[in-house]
Amino acid sequence: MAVFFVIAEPLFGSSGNLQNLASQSAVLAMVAAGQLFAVLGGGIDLSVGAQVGLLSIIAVDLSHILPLGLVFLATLAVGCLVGLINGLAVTRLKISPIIATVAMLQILTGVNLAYTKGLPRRNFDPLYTALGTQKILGLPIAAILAVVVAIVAAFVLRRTVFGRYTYAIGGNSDAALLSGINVRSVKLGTYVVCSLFAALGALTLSSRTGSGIPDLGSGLEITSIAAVFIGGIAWGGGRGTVLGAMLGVILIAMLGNGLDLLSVQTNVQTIVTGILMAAAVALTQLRRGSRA
Amino acid sequence: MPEEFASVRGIGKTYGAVRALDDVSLSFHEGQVHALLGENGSGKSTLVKLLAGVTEPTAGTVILGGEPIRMSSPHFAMQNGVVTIFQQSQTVPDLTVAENIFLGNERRRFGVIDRGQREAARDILSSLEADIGLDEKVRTLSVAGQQIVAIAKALMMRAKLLILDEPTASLGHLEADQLFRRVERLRERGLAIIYITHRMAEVERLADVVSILKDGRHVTTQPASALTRADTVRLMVGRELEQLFPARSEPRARVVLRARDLRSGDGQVLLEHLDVHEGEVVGFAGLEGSGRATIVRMLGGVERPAAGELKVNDQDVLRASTRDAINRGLAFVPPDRLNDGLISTFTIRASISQAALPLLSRLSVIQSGRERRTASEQARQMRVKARSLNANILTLSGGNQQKVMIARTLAARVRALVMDEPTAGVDVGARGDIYTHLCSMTAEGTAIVVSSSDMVELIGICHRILVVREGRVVEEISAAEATEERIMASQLPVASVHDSHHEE
Repeated sequence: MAVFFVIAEPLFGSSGNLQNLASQSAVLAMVAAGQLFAVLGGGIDLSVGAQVGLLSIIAVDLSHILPLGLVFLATLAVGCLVGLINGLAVTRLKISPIIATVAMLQILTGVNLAYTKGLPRRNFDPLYTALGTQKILGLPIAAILAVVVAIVAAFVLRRTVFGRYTYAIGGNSDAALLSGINVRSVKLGTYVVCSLFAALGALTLSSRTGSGIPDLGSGLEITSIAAVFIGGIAWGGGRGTVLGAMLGVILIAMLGNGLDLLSVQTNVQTIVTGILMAAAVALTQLRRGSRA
Repeated sequence: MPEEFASVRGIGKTYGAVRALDDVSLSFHEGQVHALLGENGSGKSTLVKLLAGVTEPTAGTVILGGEPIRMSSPHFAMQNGVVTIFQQSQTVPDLTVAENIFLGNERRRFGVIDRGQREAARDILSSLEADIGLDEKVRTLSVAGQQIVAIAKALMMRAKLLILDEPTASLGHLEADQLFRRVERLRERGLAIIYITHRMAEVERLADVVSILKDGRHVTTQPASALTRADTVRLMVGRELEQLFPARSEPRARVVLRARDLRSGDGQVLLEHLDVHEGEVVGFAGLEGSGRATIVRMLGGVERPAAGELKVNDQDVLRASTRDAINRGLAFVPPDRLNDGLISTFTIRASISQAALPLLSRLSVIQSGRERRTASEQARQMRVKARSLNANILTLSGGNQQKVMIARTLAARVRALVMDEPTAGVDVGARGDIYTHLCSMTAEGTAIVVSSSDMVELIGICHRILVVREGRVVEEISAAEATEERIMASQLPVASVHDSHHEE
């Protein structure tokens, strides 16, 4: 696909555009890395977009009164709190993940609009926008952060007990329970991690735009799920890797960027992403079917 | 000679480099029960899949009513009278019995399901002597009941060849007995029946013809009357039946698992007194529905009694979480390893280390080297046959999966092991390995509780057998006294037990 875009629009391969691509996909990468935890654990988080929106407002508002470090910590903490509530709703109140997180989406959107009256907040202070716009050694900081997030996520999934248990509860939660895994707390953990990474995405996005905008993250819930699925996870959890999800992110970002350059309408891009997602899941299923 | 309904000629199936079935020719006749025997991995399931249209052969042909036919899909096979009752339930739990029987086969009038067909369903159920209402939800039925619904569905589809894949695997003795009678009636009605089982008693009871497969090849086909039990086992594995059970070691004095007055929610005492000593194997017998499963789950620390005492090495496990019970040395191996034991997406290595991760990690980070070593050590000890421990757990045969279940408890350094149906769906060869291993665990001082509906197994490996009837432990039978007749008599409800007591 990259080859196609390079041929169709030479600008695609320019270093400026590639850097642009990297910082555009950084936010999606962070949110998708988080979404991966929720999906692997047999759940889903449809509220990440709304979380990003609200957290961007909180971050900008706090940035006028607190030092930057504290702003980050506070924003991440609020993110974790939202994840905790999602997790508790799923594990304690036994609400299905789709319903619980759609409810959260509604609640966050409502709170957000009530608080901001729908108006954006700004902070163009260079310090605040550094994360989203500056470079280190010619690489966008946001992209570096996204790579770090991906590496951390991969390490947690592959090498830690929590990661192994996440795969276990997504694969067969009854069996996980009987082999002594505390299914409820692991599941709770996946929602907290999901929201933590979404909060990082919110900070990055808000810093890049110098804004807090109520609907800044809208659509991220769907694209992050698309990235995870295009990356090869099967619905219902238990499979999938960070690398796969990151490939999904890059594919979606390239598609968006390439089609933008070719001046294809955003609507069409959305349609293409949808088709890609369905095709990816269908392919996974077909591959599995032929093995059985 | 009865009419041939179906046959396979020179049939073969390869999966990549693996030859699952190689040049097998067999015929199946109307009004005959044809037992298909072989260890797991012998090619039985592959043959069934070919007949059922689940996969297509890579060589040879399926012949139906004298004509070669391409079994392109399960639906096509069913339309041509070949219906398979697989081990896994094929019923839809939230539909009613009638809806299940007609599923995929609804007679429609202007697109609306015709209620007149209910009569037909009722007739079929009564011909199976099944006391099941058409409007009961299948979810509420027992395993046996669900199986009857599947058979009724097969008859509704006018099955001519019925394939039963280990139909008694999860049935109690009474229900198995009812199933045998149903199979006999179906034979009288002229159905060709392929019957797959690991249990010799069932072959002796039902089969007209016996075919044995080994390593994908056809070994022999003979009238059932011409084969003794010993012949059959030898042809399947090349091993004598007596060698299946190793010599028992002597239990020691120290008590590992101690249970007192385990009570259910309504206050009934299910188990009064049990001490399982180091090196001892205690068996639990009981028909399905006797409450055996509940008591064994309580002993295994996965179901909490309302009151009582349960200790492992003097540490309380009654109120402990499953995690804490495992930490204190108690593990439970559930009867249904696919649904409650294994995580289908895991590798063999991860499946073995699954319950032992806290032991194999530092600061919550898994130490891969230690995990690998532990897994290969346990796999070697349990003689798990696998090309690589990085392969998916489901690539293993049932017997090897069960070995992994046991290897997992070893990795977690368990001192008291509670197993429900340890060899369900496990072939003879792997059963031998499992028994040998349980024996070497007892020699090292592990206390073992085995719950089984296979009385030969209980008699073969246990020091004593507790019998559960009507929810409670009612009798203890020592190894010396244990016979199939004795256990059976004790399992049966009181009314029918009187006679056998008088005999003694």
